[in-house]
Amino acid sequence: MHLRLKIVSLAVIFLIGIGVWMLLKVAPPRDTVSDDTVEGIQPRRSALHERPDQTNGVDVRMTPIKIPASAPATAADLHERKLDPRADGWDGEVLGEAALNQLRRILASDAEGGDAWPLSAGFACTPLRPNQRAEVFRTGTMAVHRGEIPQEMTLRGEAALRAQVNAVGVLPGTRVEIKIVRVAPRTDGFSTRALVELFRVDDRRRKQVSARWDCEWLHVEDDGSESGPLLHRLALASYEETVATSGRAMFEDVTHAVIGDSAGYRGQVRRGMNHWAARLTKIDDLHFFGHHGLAIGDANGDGLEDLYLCDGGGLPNRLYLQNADGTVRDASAESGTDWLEESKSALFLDLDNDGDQDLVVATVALLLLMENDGGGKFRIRGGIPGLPDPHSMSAADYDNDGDVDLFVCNYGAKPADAGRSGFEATAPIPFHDANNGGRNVLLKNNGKFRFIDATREAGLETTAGRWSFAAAWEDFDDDGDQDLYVSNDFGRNNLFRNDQLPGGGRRFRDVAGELGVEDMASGMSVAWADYNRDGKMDLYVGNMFSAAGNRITSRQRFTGNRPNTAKQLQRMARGNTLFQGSRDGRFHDVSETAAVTMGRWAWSSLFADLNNDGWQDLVVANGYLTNERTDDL
Amino acid sequence: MAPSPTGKKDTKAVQDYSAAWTAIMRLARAGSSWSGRERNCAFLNCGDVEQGARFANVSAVSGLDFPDDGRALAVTDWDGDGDLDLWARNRNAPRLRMLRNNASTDDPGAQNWIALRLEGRKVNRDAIGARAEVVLADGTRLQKTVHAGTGFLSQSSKWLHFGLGSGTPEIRLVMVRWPGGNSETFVGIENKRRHRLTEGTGKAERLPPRSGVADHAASNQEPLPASGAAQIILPRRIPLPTMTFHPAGASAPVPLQEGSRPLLLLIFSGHCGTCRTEMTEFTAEAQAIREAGLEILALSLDSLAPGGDADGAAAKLIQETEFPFLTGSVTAASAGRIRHLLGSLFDYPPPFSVPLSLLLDAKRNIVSIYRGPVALETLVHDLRHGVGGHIDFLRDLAIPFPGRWHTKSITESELAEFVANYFQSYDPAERLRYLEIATTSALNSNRADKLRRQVIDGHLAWARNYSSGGKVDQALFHFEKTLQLDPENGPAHNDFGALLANQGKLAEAENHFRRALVIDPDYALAKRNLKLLIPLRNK
Repeated sequence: MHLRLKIVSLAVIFLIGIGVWMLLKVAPPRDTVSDDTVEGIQPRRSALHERPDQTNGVDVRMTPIKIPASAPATAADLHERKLDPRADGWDGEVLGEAALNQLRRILASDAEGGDAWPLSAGFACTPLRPNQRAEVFRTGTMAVHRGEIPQEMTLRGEAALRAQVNAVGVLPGTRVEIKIVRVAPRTDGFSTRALVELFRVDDRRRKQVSARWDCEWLHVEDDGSESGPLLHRLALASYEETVATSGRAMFEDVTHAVIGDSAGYRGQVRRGMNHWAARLTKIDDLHFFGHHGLAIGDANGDGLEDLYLCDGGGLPNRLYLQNADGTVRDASAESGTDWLEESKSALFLDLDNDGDQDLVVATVALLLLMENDGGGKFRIRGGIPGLPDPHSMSAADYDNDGDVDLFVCNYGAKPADAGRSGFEATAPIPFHDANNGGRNVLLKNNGKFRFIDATREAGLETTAGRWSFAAAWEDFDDDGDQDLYVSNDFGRNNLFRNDQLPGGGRRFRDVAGELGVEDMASGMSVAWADYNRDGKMDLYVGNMFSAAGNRITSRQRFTGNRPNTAKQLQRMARGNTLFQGSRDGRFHDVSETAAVTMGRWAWSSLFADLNNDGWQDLVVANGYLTNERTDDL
Repeated sequence: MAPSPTGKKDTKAVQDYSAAWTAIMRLARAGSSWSGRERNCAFLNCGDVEQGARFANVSAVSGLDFPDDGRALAVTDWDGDGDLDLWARNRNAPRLRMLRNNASTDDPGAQNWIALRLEGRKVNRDAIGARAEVVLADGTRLQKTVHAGTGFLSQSSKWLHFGLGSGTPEIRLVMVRWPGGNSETFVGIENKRRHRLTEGTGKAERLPPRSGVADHAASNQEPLPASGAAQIILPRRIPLPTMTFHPAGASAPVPLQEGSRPLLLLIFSGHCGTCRTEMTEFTAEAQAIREAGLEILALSLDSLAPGGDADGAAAKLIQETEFPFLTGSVTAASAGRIRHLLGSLFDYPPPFSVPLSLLLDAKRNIVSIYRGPVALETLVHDLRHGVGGHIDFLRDLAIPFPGRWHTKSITESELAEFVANYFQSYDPAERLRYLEIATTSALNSNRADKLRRQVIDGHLAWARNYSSGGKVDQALFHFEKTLQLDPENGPAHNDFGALLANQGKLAEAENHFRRALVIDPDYALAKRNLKLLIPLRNK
């Protein structure tokens, strides 16, 4: 619910107390007649209360009750039944699951001496670890080993496979993860491709194996034992070992030590969205998707970085100021930034060029513009209304006039309605190239915290409303002005080139198609950097990788009579994309040769030189919905 | 799985596809995972590697591979020790991780770095869009741009951090290209130091090294135990859905009426041990509960079970606990409506479980919801502040931590419409009831008119539906409702007339056809109906 703004019109303020005429005389002249900033926003602190609370740590046994349906089944009910692939005739999904279970049996580290493995009588495999391995890269404490992939199926029988599994490092304590990404039927069985990741810590050594296995399976006669398919052939398709010898991990979670045991930490950090989505209502926009961002900046001008956290409706945003010892103190209330309205993202920016970090917060009702007094106290200077579904924001001075402007991605076309928003309120159509999403907005900074909607004037008003999750500015063509990449869910992305008009104005043109960066997929994030140090900026786009999506879209039944659409849909589930910039301005998709697609269901996907070796590495935050059940839709 | 339609015009396909979305999200809300427990990834750039791909998978060895539902990520050298730390924001718990990078401490190959903060004078002060190029004596060139907003919902530091590789790198200069295209060369940059580069000065200002940072202990922030119990005050009172129950000993269901005092509606099962504990406590506290001005109605759900309440467990529980308040059993339709109401309010409602109680005011609006047993102390608090307090205070009582609002609380009418919209796909009749509440409580006539229109259309749709389904009584009821709200509704008069005619009520039918023709003299259908009717009447 976002339209219940508490805005007192200027006229009303003028009429209170003093004569209108007097005020008009002393009021400073407006910079522009047509800006889009509203003022007179009157925040209200919530009343303090202490309510008895028995929820903490109390484990109460409750009795679930199934209520029989008293209304006829709806269309969604029917679909719910069809979502079970068995019921829907997707035999490939059933085979994939069977293969996964068999591989898990084989790789269960306690299988030593246990039941016989599900292998065919004629089972054969390649070595699972290349015999010839070389250290191809090393930095200080980390090393990467690779080797020639053996082609010949030289090994036979269970004993040989056990020796291989052992050699590759599957021992008690090894963490094993398997994903089946492809299933294809064969005359007497079927084949699968599996991604296998192994990880173990021995003393001071951390070792990871990432491999791809191609398997052939034979069906067995159904004798009622439910023994499942038998592994007939197993071939190593790729192999990599990485080893770190520093003892402790390169990254360690120190959140608890940094934030301490405050109410804000216990309640807001250690409770997930599912907890709140069972307790706070959709009336005040608490949803379980957890799309809440963070911003880093020096809020109080002491030279240390501080942290601003956005949160769901009914949970206050938090400003954590950094202390000299690296810990933080909660300054949310005193700084005036503890907004309770659902907030997706925020940016620290010096909007008025006075040397401190102002704050922009994208709430569900308004884009709030807050001025910093220089010491970390923020005052509302206005807000931008009318944004349907703001998500990521990105700032740059697109018109080179000396102040930063704002680009706001709006995902859905409509604000939350009856507790539904985004793709739940409006189905994205068509799925692989949807154009019924929200209208993105370019807000031009006119000084003094006044902004105008320059979207149309700048040529960013596209005919298709993309489902935009994220955007990032960069002067990719090195001509002195900022260009903009926009990452869209359900379809193609945009690269808007910033062109100077002869008259001096600015005009953006979408060159994503001609420069090869449309990346038709489920775009969630975007970052720019020069990863290969050739002087040209490259792009890393965060997308969805879905094992199920890969399995299903590669099946004949799916591709059937729509080869083009099917190809596009396959691309939707491939994962992240790395585009390499080149001298001629075009970009080349090097994702697969660079081995950076498998970022799983990716959100923020960023460049960062993690080990100071001068090369930009990649970090990916991922995962969609982890709920109580471990199944995977 | 439903194929996606390729255009909006294919209405049937769009509906089918939308229903598939609804279905998959319903499963997720019922506890299924969807790409859950996925581990964060880290890919190490191996430079110009000779064998294989440029990047190596170091997700696990780096320690970054937490199985969180990750969302935002920000990169910053938080502790100023010369390597890049990460702040991660997650959907599930823990919702935040500060991931300290140990490279500059532990890795002899990660000791060389510089950090630059650019500051504009003519260009924007934050120097967003400025690009710094570090030139080393060996010819290596590294470049980075000041960004504000990259990734998903994330803003990383505006400090530009450059790792300089192992050995003893010699920094020749830093070239800054300011937004607009002007270049400026900076000298005086020193390894392992932070610098401020101000536009127009040409000289880097070296900042003192950071000191005094504590060695923070690592911990994995194990999740807190989950609990199904919750005591929830709603941000605004919500009218109870239509509620009927069988009072103890009575066979006919009766509606729950308004009363003179607040009521705790307790839903329980005779097979639920926690219910027994709670009801035993209520028995012991009966006097205090009544003194607080509260009545209790305990309704059993056992008759909804497949075999019904054959073993009389609910009655036994009441007898054994000597429960001194009103009791009965709830109808399936009413229980279903409560479940849907909870679904309308909460995005991730837990499975419907007992004990569940609702604190109702005298007018039978829901003030608070208790999953699991509720203590007398909480009831007394919520009676005083929730039932008796100012309505604006409810929104503040509903939230767990203080903060500030810039929007107003939802109005009674908006809330009723909110609930009505949810009921649309579950219980259309109940939807109409909430829409009627929304209409009568609307604050302005425009909104009231719009809502009234929806109510009228709803009643007419039901009337026609029942009419064609042969359910005459229900159809009559809805036609009367429609015409009561909208006496000038020609099509309703016509359809009502047709139903009456089929019932043999020819005089009444004629009246309605004539009314339809007064409203619209050119209404062909009514004309034809009247023409058919008159000879019948004359017979």
